[in-house]
Parts: sequence; C-alpha cells; structure tokens
Amino acid sequence: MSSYYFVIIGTRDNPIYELEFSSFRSGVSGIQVPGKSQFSPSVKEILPFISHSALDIIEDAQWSTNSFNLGKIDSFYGLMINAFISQGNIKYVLCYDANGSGTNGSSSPSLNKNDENSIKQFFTEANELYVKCLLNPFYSVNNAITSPDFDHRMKLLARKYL
Amino acid sequence: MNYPEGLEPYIARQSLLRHTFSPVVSLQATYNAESLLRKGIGNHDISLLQIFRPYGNNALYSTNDQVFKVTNNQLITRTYASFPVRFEPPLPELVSIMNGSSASGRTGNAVGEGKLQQLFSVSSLEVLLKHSSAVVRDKTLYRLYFEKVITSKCVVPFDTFNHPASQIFVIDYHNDTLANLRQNIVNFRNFNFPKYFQLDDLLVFVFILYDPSQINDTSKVQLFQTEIKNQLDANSIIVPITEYGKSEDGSFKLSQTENSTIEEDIQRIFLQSNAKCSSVGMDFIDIPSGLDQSLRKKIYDFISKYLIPHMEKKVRVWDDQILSPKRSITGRFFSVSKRLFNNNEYSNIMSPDSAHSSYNSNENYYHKSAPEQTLRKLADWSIILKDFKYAYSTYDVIKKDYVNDKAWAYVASTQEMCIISLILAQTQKSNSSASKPDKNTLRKIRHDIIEPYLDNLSYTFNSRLNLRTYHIRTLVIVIELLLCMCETYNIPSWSDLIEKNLCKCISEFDAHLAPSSQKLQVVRGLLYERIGYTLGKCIFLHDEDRRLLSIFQKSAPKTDTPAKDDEEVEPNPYKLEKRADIGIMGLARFRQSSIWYILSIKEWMLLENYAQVNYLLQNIKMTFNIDDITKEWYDRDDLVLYFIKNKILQNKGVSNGDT
Repeated sequence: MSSYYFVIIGTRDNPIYELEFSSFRSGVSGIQVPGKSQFSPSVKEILPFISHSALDIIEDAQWSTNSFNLGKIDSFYGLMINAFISQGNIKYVLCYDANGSGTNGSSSPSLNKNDENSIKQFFTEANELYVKCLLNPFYSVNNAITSPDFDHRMKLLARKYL
Repeated sequence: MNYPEGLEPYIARQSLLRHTFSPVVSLQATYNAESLLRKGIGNHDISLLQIFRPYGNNALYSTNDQVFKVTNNQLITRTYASFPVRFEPPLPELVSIMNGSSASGRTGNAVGEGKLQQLFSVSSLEVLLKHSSAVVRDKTLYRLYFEKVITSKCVVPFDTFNHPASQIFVIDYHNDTLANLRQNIVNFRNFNFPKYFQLDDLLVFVFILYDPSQINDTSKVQLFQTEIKNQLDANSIIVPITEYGKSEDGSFKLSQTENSTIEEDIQRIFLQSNAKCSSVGMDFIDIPSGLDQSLRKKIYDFISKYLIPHMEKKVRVWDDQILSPKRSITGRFFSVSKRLFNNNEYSNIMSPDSAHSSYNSNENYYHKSAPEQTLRKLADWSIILKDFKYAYSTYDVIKKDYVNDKAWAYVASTQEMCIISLILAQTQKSNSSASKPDKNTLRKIRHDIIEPYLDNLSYTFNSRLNLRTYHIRTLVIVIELLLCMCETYNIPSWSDLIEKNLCKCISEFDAHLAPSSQKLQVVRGLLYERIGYTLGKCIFLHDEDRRLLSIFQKSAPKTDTPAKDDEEVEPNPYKLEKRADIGIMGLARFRQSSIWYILSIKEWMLLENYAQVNYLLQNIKMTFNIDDITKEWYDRDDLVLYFIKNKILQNKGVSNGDT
C-alpha cells in the first residue's frame, strides 16, 4: 500500500494546501486506519522540503514540454515525485513511495503505466478544484486553502484515483 | 561570491596526487645512523623515518626555488613546483605489518598472495572522524575524510603505487663500514619478497650521515662515496649532522600526521590520551632549523637528480621493450594467433613461468617477470610522472589482457585507473587553456567509459572479491575528479552522475556496516554535505551569463515587503511581486542542494556539533532564512528545520546562561 504526500505550491514557493494519505485501492490489512499514510517520522519531517526541492526540476522541466503534466520528474531516497504545473504558475507535487511500507524500493513495471495515468487524472481534477477555489472572490492567489469543502473533495479525488 | 562553501575539488585532486599517486621510497637506517641523528636533534624517542616522512611532502616542506623537471616519453619536459614522495619503512616490514594484521595468521613469507584484505576499517574511520570533528572544522573535515580514505599502505599485486620505487639505506660514516652496508643490501635482496614484486626496478640508494666536527675535510667522505659507487653500484648523498643547540637558530615544527593512515591516527590519539611521556604520540616534533634546511636540500637533490631520472629511464625502457612491440601490427597478430592456437588449456594454469599466461589464478597475481605486471607498473609510473594521457592509453591496452586471463582484481583496478587517468588528463592545469571537450566527447567519456566501468568494477569488488572498501575508495576518488571536471569545463549536466555515485557511496558504507548494526553519522553527514555542494555548484549558465547569478545572490536575504513603486500612489496589494530568481529560474539547483544540507545538519545536530551546524547553515541561506524562526512554511513546528533552529536557540541560551 503506497503512501502519498500531495502539495499545492504557490508562486512564492509557499505550500498552500497539503494532504497526506495512503492508497485506498489495494486490500487494507486491517491493522492500520484506511487512508492513513505510512511515512516514517524521519521522512514526514522532510516531506515539504522534498517537494520544495523538486521545484528546481519543475522549473527546469517546464520549458521542455508543452503539457501541464510533467510526469515523474525526480526521486529522492526511494520516494517518487510527480508534478503538474498550471497556467498561473501553481505547482502540484505528489511524492509517493512505490511499494508501501515507507522504505525505499523501485516501482514494479506493471503498476507503473497505470499509476502514471491515474496520477495525471488526479492532477487534472485537482487543478479544476483549485480553479473553482480561485473563483471565490474572497480568495486570493497564494493564500492557504482552508476550505473544508475543498479538503473533502480533494480526499474524494484521492480515493477515486490513487 | 562563493556559494556554497566547501572543499574545492582542485585541492582534493592535488591531495590525491600527493597521497596516492606518488612514489613510495622505503627507508632503512642502521642503528648508528639513527643514534647520530638523534644526538643531532637532541630527542631520543624519535626514529629516522619519523623525521624523513614529513619531508616527502615537498609542496609543504619546500626548498627555495625548487623545480622538478620531468621529461615524458615524447621528450617533452614539464616543470612542477612539487613532486611529493612517500617515505615508508622497507618492504619486508610493510609486508609483515600486513601479515600481522591479517586474521589468518599465516607464516611470514607467503605474503599478500591469495586472499586480499580490506583497505581500511569503516568503523575506525567513523571513530577517527568523530574524534577529529571536535577540533577540525568546516571544509577541512571533509578533506580529512577524503585523505584518510585514499591513504593506504596495503601492498597488493594489482596496483603498484604502494610498491617502493626506491630503497634508501641510511648509514653513519663514522661507525658503519662498507662491509656493513654490503651485508644490509644483500640481506635486503635475499628477503623472500612476494612473487609479484619486481625487485630489479628498485633504485638502491645510500644516505651517508656524518658529523662535520669529527672530521677535518669532507674529501674522505667523498672518497667513501666513490667506493660505494664502485663496489656496490649505488649512488649516495652525504648529509652533515652537527649537534644543533636548541636555542641557536630556532627550531621548526614538523608535522607527524603527514600521510598517516586511519589506524596510525587512532593509535596516536590513543597514545596521546594515555601518555605519560610527553613526546610519544605528539602531533608535532621540533627540529633545529639548520638540520631542517639541509634535509630539505638533500631530499630535493635525491628526488630531482636520482629518483625522477631513474623512473623516466625505466618508463622509457619498458615502453621500448614491451609496450611498443605489443602495439605494433606484428604484436597484435602474435597475440591473436596465440589465443587461437593455444588448445592446451591446462598448461598455463598452475605454472607462473609458462609462456602463455603468467597469471596465477590460484593466488591471483601475475609473476614479476610477466609483461602484464610490468605494463601495469609502466602505467602507474607514468601517472606518478604526471603523463596522464600516456597512462590512460597504457591502461587501455593491458585491460584486454587482464580480461582474457580473467584476472578480475587487475581488471577492476585497471578500470578504476582508466577513469582516473582520463579525468586527470582532462583536468591537468597546463591543459586548461585547451577548449572544452565537445558534446560528443563528453557523452562518450560518460556513457562509454565512466558509467560502464564503474558498474563493472563495483560488481567485481563487491561480489567477486568482497572488497567493499576498494569500491568505496574508487567512488570517493571518482566523485572528486568528476567535480573537478565539472568545475573546469562548466558541465552542470554531470551533477546527477555525481549525485548518483554519492548516494551509492552512502549505501556502500551502510552495507559495509550492516552486519555489525553500527551507525554512521559523521561519514553520512559529510557525504550529504558533498551532495549539497555538488548540486549547489550545478548551474546551467554559460560563463557570460553568470552575472544573472550574482543578481540573484544579492537579493537572496528574503524581504517579505515588496519594493515600493514610486509612481503608483496606491500599490495594488493583489499584484504578485517579481521573483528574485527570475533570471535563473530552472537553471540552478539551490533548493535541491538545501535539502541535502539540511539532512547533513540533522546528522550533526544529533552529534551535537554546533560549530559544524553553523558552518553548514551558511550554505542554505540562499533558500531559507536562517537567522530566526519566521512564520514561513519551513519553520513549522513539525518540520526538521524548526527542530534544528530550536535546538540552536536552546544551545545559545544554555551557553549564555553559563557565561
């Protein structure tokens, strides 16, 4: 069961929304709470830094492709990093460990193709949600997103795709 | 502006040449010579080797206007400001030390044959670095780590850097006779050396110490010199030793840590902590300036007049007799036909003198008479004489022979040297006027040589031979040289290669210690720091665009208030401010570099070494505000940076409270 860390990063490199969760897809073993991420504490405390460091690569990769989805751009100690960049220069970063249990490991090839696609879907819909949030006149760019509704919908998305 | 701060790769390159790729000169002194020298210095707990050893590093202990001329095979003469040598005990001693430390406890003469030992002990390295980190700070600590990993005295068959190039007998003119000297030389020659060691290439040399106050004219000593030359065919140098009063013209501090291995350092630290007697295990010894000057002069004479010409001559002879015929058309034809028509598979396995292959696969060495062994030495000596291109081509030639003989240790070591000599050739200072190698060459170097060779040798060292430390040493050296290459030619695209190898290095260290479930903290911290340094130096800008970088660096300390526009009366609060890094967006890796630095800081934090933490914090100031706890995201209380800053503040509070 993979664990995920999803973050939306604003234009000043500031995280505006964070979500940690684990995959709902494969069978839940019963011991742990479903959807609770399995990152070890030492990884947890650097997760925002990992996504922050991925910005270097994102900014480099954005010039070389036409699509918003940048795909898998980096890996850090067995954590894969996928990214998506929006028209307004908002970055969506997803860090995940491929084989669950918090240790390192390479993703199995059968899983990979499918994963890439669902992550792309996830990013696209997350972007839609963000745009809806941006339409709110009381919200301005780079503010933290605190809406419980946004959070709820994001979790539904996570459950649907990852 | 120098950001991030770290050990410059060129310094690492220099110390690599100084500590690893320099000739070994073994020293053997008679009892009389030792006592004469001790009397001269006025210190009775010291050995002649201890005094000579630091002078081997003639970059540090130089004479006035010293110049070393080296002529290569193409008869091009280059001059160098220094040509370090390593003074070591004679080979029989080196070999017996190695034997003593090997657990198997074999008898004295079957040395270094068969099973190979690890190069160094990783846990001792960790202990040493932990101890030194209290004293040694900043980038010097990484340098210490680097030097300790590359310094070794292991005599192995597949690498001749630690085989002595010269043997010096130090005798006392007044008490030692010619017969004594002859006996010493004969005894030395009769020692049962390892079968791969080529005794005949050794330059036998004599240092004659004499006391000028005891004889009237030096012509007698010179007569003695000619006698030695005539009867024993050995050159000599005379060194006057008077009794220097301590107060006369001051004394000079001589470092004792020069070129010492990890074990020696640990032993010295142990002695220091238990020492009753002051002079045992000291880091420095005092030596009278007069003696200091004359020793420098004499050792310079020895190296420039005898050692370098001897090595040049040997290299030329081997090139003529072995390498050139091998490279010629007939030579190639001959070697192919030998392979095709040699059906007798069993004839060459056991006998080293066999004409077909002189590889002894039982004990893993080539016999000293084998051309393969000599060629390897030829290549090694050309590295020592700083002819890296020639060395590379030689390594390339012999590699095939080793592969044919399945001499895996030789193959791996030669692959290592191929990479090293290639990059050394590229980064040679006198070459630097040459233009940057083009894209295709760079790709070839990386994809056809560096990467496959590294993979290959890691398999050999780890799986075939179970010698992880050799692999670690290779990685450490190659990483520094790659960094050096990147810096010389501005190749940022290679930093991922360096990063990958550094990560590999960390996992190698971990795997080495895995059975004993020990933890590496200092080494880990140092390696993380190096990754941070590598990425911080990785900037995808042409030289002429570097000014963009300085614009960014000037604006680095983050100010949250945007600059006010004068024309606008009412600034628009919703307008996004311009980013400072707009010029270099996506072209630098400062943020990636910072996370590695943070990991390194965390290791040091756990070790409670705040000096190192403060030094490393300077390297992330471009990305994060390091002065106080802000309201930015990275200072959130569940993140590592908050933990670090908090600890520092606490520590400051404690130290303020103390004072």
